[in-house]
Amino acid sequence: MGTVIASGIASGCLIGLVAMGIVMIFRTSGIVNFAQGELMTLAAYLYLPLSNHHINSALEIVLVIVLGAVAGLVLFLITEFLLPRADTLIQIMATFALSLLIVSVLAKTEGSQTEPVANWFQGGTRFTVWGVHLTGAQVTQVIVMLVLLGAVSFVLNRTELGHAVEAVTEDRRAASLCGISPRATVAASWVIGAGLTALAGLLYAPLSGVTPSMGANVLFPAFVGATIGGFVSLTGAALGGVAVGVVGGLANYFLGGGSVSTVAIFVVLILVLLFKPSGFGGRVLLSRV
Amino acid sequence: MNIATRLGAPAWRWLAVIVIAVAVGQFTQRGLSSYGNFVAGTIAVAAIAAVGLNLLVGNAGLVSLATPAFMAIGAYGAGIVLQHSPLGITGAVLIPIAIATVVGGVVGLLALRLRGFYLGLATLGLLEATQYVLQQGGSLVGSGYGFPMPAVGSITAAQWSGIAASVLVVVVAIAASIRRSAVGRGLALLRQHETVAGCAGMNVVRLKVGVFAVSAGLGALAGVLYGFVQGAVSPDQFNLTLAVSQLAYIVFGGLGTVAGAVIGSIVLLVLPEVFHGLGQNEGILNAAVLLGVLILAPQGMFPLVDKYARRLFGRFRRREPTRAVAVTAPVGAPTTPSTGTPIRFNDVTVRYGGVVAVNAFSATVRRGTVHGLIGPNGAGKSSAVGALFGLVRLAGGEIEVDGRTVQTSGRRNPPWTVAAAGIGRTFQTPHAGEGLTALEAVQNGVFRGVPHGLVRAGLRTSAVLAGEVEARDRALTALDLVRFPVSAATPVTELTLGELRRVELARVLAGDPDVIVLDEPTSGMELADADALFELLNGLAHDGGRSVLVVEHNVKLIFGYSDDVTVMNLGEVIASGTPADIRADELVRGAYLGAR
Repeated sequence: MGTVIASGIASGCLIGLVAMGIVMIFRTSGIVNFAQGELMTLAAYLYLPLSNHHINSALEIVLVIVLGAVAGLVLFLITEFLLPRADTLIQIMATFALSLLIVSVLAKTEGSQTEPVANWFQGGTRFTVWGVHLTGAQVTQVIVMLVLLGAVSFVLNRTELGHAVEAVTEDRRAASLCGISPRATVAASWVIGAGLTALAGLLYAPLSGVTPSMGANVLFPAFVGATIGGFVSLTGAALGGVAVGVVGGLANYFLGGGSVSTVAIFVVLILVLLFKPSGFGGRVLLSRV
Repeated sequence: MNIATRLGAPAWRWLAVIVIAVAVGQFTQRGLSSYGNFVAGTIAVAAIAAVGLNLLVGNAGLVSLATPAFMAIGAYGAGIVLQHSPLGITGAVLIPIAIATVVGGVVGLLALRLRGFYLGLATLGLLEATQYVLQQGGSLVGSGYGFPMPAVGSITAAQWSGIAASVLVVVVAIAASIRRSAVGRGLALLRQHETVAGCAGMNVVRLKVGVFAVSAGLGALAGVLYGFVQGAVSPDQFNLTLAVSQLAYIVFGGLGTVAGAVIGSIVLLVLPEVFHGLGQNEGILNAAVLLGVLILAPQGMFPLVDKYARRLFGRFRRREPTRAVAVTAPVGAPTTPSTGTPIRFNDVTVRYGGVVAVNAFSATVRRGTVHGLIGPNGAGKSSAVGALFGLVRLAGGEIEVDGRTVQTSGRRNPPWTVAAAGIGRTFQTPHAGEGLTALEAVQNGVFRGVPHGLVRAGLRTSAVLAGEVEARDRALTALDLVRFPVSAATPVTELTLGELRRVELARVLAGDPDVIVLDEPTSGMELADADALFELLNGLAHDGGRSVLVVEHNVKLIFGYSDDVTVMNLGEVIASGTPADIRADELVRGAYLGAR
């Protein structure tokens, strides 16, 4: 039981990282990015050749995150300059088309089989604390998520960029009148959001192997996590992700495998949406008629 | 008497639809190669579901990813009924559709609380639950592998494709009828602003649940045919990919247009056949085509084609609408004048959390008068009007309309029940309903007065047609009354703010209400227009016998045209009486007019 919860928390931290990336991008750009899972997949594929010719973990991690952030920048350019800013559904469909495009290009160039990835930095050690069985990878996931949550929260709350993000979230035009460049701020959010997600890809790859469709498995749990967290708060998204991981793990343990964990996650989602539509940690936005 | 009149226009129309349906079905069955026939059947099935989904997403603005769930209910349901019951093909078609309609209605209840992306995410839950049942549901659903569809008589696969094509023609006719009816126009307003739609007299709950149910029913109908066309059902046919493909069809073809859903299904399903020889490049090309259309023509293919076709062939340009007969209802004076007190606020209190926005507010609007409600920003004027329409809950007191209690602190009645008491209102920001013409937007005011059920609208019965004529005549009269300066056929997206305000007032007048409430009707209007508006309000009250409550910042207009004035400040009444009384009131001068 304790072990189930612990592994739920650990996988929830990965979901939380992706959820943080989704929220980061959504806040300033207003785009619900359906290609977020593929930002993770791309990072995993970038890491694949590096892990095969392993030299230095730190160097490889930094390289993958930087390249992942560049991929985010490309998506920013497409969504910012090519798509109309009007209809939510059309933006969702466009990011979904981007996701399909990335998956099908990867399937063509890399093949759709699952590639194993060597695990160089997460540690394969297993140990037991108070009867709870843990792996080194799980501990790494929790630590990485906490450190990044702290780091990004620091950036958002204490730096100039954080204030710009807050201003653009509130009102893009008003922010530009205050001398903030909305474009640069939105671009920065895409870079940070994609970087967070790339890191999740790095952590996820050695556990499941790399395949073009791996992003799709994480996308919806991450959406649910972000929604439970209110879709504006990074801490909310992180905790929402953890909650999703734990609920999924418990459902699997008690109700049997298959897609029962997905059903359980959505039951929780619908309950949260019905009884606390703003999520936990969200802000209520008033509208005037 | 010619045959068309004897049969009645609806019967005549349906005869034509059935002839076309049979012809299309026969062509699909006999005129195509066996592979072409299969592809046509697949496209027809997808298009039926897409037309249903478009009603929901494109017209009502409710995003759903649950289409494959309803299709699965149809396909699996038909197979199960045929295998395990003696009900035959009739039961196999009707039972799954009935089940899906009910399930769809229940999902529609979710749409009362959720919208946009969140609704989409929640409906994905239904899809996941359906997948779970299909995979783990035991022998009834083929132990997770599905089953081959049982044969029905001697109907061949080619015939099923033909049937699917025929059904598509009928479904298109039904959906087009809904789009052009009162309920179709109502959905456009609902999509843009739920509160405005509610205050215009539309039962938002019924509309949302109804459109979800109809869309789900069409999904199940598509599912039944899908099973027979494919010959077998399995869980992986009804996954998220199908849900997104369905959304892609309607976005590609044009959101909210019936032709768009069909065009999108055809193009996006034929493309893979064209790209078939390209092996793995197929997926890349499909994704690239979708992305390309979203970037180059985000409104979809059909509106684009439509626009250029109209430009090329001038005779298809929109005609100026005209009245069919002499005006049926004089909009100047109410058709059924009543005698109760038009509006009475009785000790009304409204709180937002700890903030008291309106505190023990009392005011009475007398019949046949213009009553001005003024006060500085934050005085509680809009909150009082909002409370009247049930947009906020009363913390105390009660509100009467026409002598009937419509709001109490114990019970908040929704806007459409208040509107039914014979009251209409305008808003600070006008919303006319995106995608409508000015005329259609004004016709929305007659929503309650004409048949507005989804089923009747879909069948376009003679009662619906008569309602259309009445709605159009009343709307045109109302547009004349507000001196609408441009063509009634102008799309509302091309109107100025002043014109939009006129459309909104005309919508209220078309509904023939006894009592009219206006919230800051002149903000953003030119002075001459504002004067003309108040002249009109005066005429409606003094000559037409209607009662008008107007919230306004322009004190000069209020003093010039009102019979009674109530002044609010910080949630309380600080003065009330005739304009002359108010002008002399020291308290008002101090708090509001800025005099010392």
